[in-house]
Amino acid sequence: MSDPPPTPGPFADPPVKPDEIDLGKVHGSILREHEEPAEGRESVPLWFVTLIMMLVFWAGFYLANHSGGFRANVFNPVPGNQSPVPPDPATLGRRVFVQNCVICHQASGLGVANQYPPLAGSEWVLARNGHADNYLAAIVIHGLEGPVIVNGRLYNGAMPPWKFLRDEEIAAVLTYVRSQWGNAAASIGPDFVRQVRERTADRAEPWTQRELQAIEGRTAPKAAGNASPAP
Amino acid sequence: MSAGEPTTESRVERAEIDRSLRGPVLFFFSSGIAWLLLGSALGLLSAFKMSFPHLLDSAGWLTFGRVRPAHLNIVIYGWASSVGIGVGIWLMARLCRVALRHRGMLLGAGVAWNFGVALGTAGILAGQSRSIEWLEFPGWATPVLFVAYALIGGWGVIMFRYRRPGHVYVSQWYLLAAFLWFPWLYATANVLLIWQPVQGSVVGAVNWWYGHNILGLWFTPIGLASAYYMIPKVLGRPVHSYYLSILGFWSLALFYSWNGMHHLIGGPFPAWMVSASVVASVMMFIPVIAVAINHHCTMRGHFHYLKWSPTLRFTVFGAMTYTVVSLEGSLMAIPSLNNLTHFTDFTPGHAHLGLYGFFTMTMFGAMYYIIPRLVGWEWPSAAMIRWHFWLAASGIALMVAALTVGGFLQGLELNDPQVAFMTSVAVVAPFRFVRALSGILLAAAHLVFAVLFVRMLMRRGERREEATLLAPQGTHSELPTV
Repeated sequence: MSDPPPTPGPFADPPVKPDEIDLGKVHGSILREHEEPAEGRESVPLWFVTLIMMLVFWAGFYLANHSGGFRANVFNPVPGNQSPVPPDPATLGRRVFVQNCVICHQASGLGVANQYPPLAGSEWVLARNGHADNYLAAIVIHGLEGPVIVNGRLYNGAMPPWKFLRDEEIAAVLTYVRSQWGNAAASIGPDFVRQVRERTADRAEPWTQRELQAIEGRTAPKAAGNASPAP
Repeated sequence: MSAGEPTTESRVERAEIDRSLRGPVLFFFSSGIAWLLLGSALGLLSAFKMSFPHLLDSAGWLTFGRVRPAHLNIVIYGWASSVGIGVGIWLMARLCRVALRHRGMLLGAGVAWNFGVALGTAGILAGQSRSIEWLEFPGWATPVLFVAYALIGGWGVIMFRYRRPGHVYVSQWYLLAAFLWFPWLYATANVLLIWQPVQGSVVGAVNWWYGHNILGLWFTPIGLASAYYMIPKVLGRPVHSYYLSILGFWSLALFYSWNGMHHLIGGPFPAWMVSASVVASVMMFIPVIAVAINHHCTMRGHFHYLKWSPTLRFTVFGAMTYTVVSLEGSLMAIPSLNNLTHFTDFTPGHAHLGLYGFFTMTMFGAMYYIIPRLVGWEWPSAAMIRWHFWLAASGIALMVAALTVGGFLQGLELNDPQVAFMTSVAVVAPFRFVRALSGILLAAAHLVFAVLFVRMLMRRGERREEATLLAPQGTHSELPTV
């Protein structure tokens, strides 16, 4: 009971001698209390062991199915839904237009007289009268400045480059403007935008009308499937 | 072994140990109770502001954005940690069978701890809150707390190092772990969030790693250590099973520190981080059920002691709540249920059930046992203890019921895209008012306890040698040792 501890330290009490403390002065609460608690040796119940096994099994199953292969770039834990759903091009196009284009070209697509050219009925947008699909994509990617004739009117302003937009976003907004305000031209797919971007990769400043018309016109391939223009 | 009657020698030894602990432990209890009163007042104020937004909004330091984090940090660091340290040091000394030496240092560390809490609270009220949940104290207050803690926690570890030879009891494992876990948590969170802040979403991961672990690896082990001591001690019978104790302790240590990420389900984190946390949260069934079986089987056949013993009544209330709140927490981590409870009042309901229903009630129970031994006086009024218990128990029950039901309905509204946001606010408003009323019950309970504590310190009432029981013993002959 009162063996000295093996290592004497700051708390190594000398063995307590009963006569050092007057038991009569020790308070009743200490006198009446039980010995310090001990532990029984009952075994773990079988049902609990079974429950633990089931939990461990479930844990492995859940982790295997919801951990995204422990990859750092998988954020959706629901299995079978790992690839992001591509947004509807019509919704995406409308969103890109509202966020970036509407200030100058206006929600009506008519632009502002003598300042910003219209998109509605524009030969540039619809790729008519010697204009090609790749001109349109190239303008959005690199911008356009200087005199430009649209629907028979002369505009002289500057459109900034939008090359920070992703190929899908540019394709979606081009498809959008080609299907609004009475426009009805074929949709443009992301692959076509990517090709134009690659072919004009060394371009550093905005185009002029003359430069654009000097390059070889290309037509976007017919989009397959979901990128069809609105009726 | 507890079966035999204690020897005179062991009684004298305990008297020695208690005498050496008197100053520091009573200091931690006194300051903790003072913070509890202040924390209750601030909590009440924030609760009523939810119903009456313009209440006391004329001064900046009384606005919700300051009062609410002040309430949180006061009850965490001022009340719960202080009283936890007091109980933890007492239990450690008793179980290691070593008297406390150099108690002035522990007392000084306690003063520094309180200074740190006061400094941090003043910082929050002055508008310097750091807006990192559970770590709102400004950066210039936390080093004080850390240094103070290093002294306090070191004390617990040193006592363990120089323990008398013999069996190491389950409460000692939990206490040793808690004394080592807290500085690890607190230092890591401060380094990664304040001094060398990480960037982006990692902030959230570290924040909730800390926020949840402070509950599970600091308060929970202290609360369990206390329950593991008080229940067999008062009953005078051994804890049911050593093997369940081992299982419960190590599974807590293994699973708990993964739990925090379940606060971030749906957040911008790799799927495996959140899923690992969900799994670990559900695996918390293992430690919780192990402890529940152990405590229940120790109590079995002795539940009538709850009629008499204040210690046992508070402790068993806390231990049972531990089971309930932990199982609820595991279920809340399952993503399909989390969808409903996340961002609703359900979560603060759960938090209060844990920190109050479990931890605070367990600490009250421990104090009812410890204080008479330190002061050498019996509790002066059984009626006040009964008032304390029933006000606290009904207050926390009402609060959790209101927040749980209100949060559930709020979640249903929030998840319906057809419903305007303000509808979800209107749905939960009456429940928030009930929650504020429940806070009055809790504050009243704390006032009763504070008065009782002061009367105890001043040795009011008549000198008695027999325990203060909650009810007359009647025909029962067993005497709980309270």
